[in-house]
Amino acid sequence: MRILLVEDDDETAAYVIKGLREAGQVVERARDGKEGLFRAAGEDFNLLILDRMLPGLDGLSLLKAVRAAGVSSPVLMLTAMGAIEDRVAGLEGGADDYLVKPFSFAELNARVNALGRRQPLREEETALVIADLSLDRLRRVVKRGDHSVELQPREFRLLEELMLNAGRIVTRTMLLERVWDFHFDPGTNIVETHISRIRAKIDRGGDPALIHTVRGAGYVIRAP
Amino acid sequence: MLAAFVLAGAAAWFATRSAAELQIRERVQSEMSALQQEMQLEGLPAAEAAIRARMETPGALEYVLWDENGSVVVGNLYIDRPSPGWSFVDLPDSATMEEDEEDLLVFAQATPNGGLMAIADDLLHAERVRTAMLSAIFWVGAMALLLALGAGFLAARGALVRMDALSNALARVGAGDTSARVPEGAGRDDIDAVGRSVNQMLARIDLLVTNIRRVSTDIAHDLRTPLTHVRQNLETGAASQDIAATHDSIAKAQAGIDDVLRIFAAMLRLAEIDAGAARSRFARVDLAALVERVADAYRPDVEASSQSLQIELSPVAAIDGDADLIAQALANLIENAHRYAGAGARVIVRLTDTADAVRIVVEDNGAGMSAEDRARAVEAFVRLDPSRSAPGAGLGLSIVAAIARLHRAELVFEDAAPGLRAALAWPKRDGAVP
Repeated sequence: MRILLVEDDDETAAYVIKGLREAGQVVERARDGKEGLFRAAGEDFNLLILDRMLPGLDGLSLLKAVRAAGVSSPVLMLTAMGAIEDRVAGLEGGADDYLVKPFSFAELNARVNALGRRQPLREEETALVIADLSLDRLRRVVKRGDHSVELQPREFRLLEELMLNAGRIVTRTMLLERVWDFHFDPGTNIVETHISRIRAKIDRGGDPALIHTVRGAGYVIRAP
Repeated sequence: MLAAFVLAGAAAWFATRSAAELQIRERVQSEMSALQQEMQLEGLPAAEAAIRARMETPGALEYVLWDENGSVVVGNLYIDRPSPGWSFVDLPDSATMEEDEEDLLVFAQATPNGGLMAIADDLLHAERVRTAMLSAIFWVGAMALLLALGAGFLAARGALVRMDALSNALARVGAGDTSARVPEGAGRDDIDAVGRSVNQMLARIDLLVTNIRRVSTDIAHDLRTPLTHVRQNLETGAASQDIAATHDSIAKAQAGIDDVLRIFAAMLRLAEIDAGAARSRFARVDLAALVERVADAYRPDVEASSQSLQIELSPVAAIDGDADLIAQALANLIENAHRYAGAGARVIVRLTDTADAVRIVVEDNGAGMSAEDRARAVEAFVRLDPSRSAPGAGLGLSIVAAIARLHRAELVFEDAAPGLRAALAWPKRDGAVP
């Protein structure tokens, strides 16, 4: 995947570039908003990562300019800690996702993967299948083999989110945002307890485990 | 004022001087023409008699009449023959002149018989009149000045004393004593009104400063523990020869830094909420759906610690607000109940709409809070119980309070007997939430 990172801070840029390259991505860097706009509009990138605070042209204006220039690549905004307004403004301005600084690389990588490999049709798919686990998004039915699995509405949403990202790590924060619409950090283990409930329901009777915990990163669902 | 007085005095001096002289000249001249006429019509002896008669009159002018030979015919003015017209003549030796070199103002005119008549007035008279007049002006002026100053002082004295008190109180606050207050008078004048406003402002500043101090202390406490752990873990990792042990230390240090960052995030969130910008994007919030979504999220957690969670929803009036922030406030209240109510407790999350308010209530039947703590919780919103040592626990309630303020709602803590009842209440006016 070819990624453009627009980031003025050298240390952050080096950290992100190194991590993403090790994860197999091709990363280009622009140091300010104007260079970012020039490159984003003139070249073809699969993903744009824009810092909110940039010299010259700030990230939000850059985002709007990029969208106005007809660039439809997914955009991940990096916002400062404690700036709710930035998140709202970023999403309204056409960003696909946002990440609050300082972030762990695992969090960034998970979001980059979720954005980059998102296939346009994927959201429309009604039947999600992993090994012998199936989830029918229309009829809201979950089956493991021949057994139907009874899930609470929120548990269903959680499993759906994992299955939409099958094979890719989904972080705790991503799940809080997408399943519960929580844009704050709850002090308790909401995600963990829900995951263990789902596991208990779908892994009954010694079936091979499908949902895996990736330490320090999040969860991934994949075929055994 | 003094300058004005001096100027007026100087002006009076010159004005009176020329006026007095002018007056003398007029008097002397009219006397001269009267006597000349007398002499012309009645003859010399009549004029002589007239002069004599006039000399006897008290306060009269001084006269002298010379004949054509230059001998004095009559008169009490002992001077040499002057030339006709106006002149000043020194009186070399006169009891009336004292040390003053002030002279006589003399008017001489030839008589029809070839003699010379002179009439004079002592300028000292005029001078005395003038001095008397000026001293009268001076004393009247001085009295007026003193009276004005005295009256002004008496009138201003009260105000000055009160302004001093105001200024002293502000100086004390400036020096760091935020408990200083302006003495409040019962009056309804400007100074009392200012004093009351200043006191209200000072009370608000005092509360804010106290809160900031407490919150700062709390944050410092909250940060000290994880930062100490980070340092210890990094030292251990740096000293270790074993790669696995080093990785373990680094992972622990990272967890510590995450704790620190969480506290920072909470502080920044608090500051952002208090800045009030979120109010500009308030929208209709479906409280029932929100309460269910948030409370439901905690069900597994609550049930995992052998507590129970009960959600009671009733239809409520519409509220304008920020759904994300209300969700966070409710989440914090549920976490608080979950964390401190103890094992086996029942947590009830309730949405009610009564005549006076729309309320989101989180109630538990745990240990509860003492009346003092409940009062303090509303007042200060800092960590209540030192034993409640979870990082950021104090900030959690501070954030709830800030979100309530932002929404013009009230955060209330009540005794649920047993347990604690925390409520976010949107007061109604005229049966609706404004």
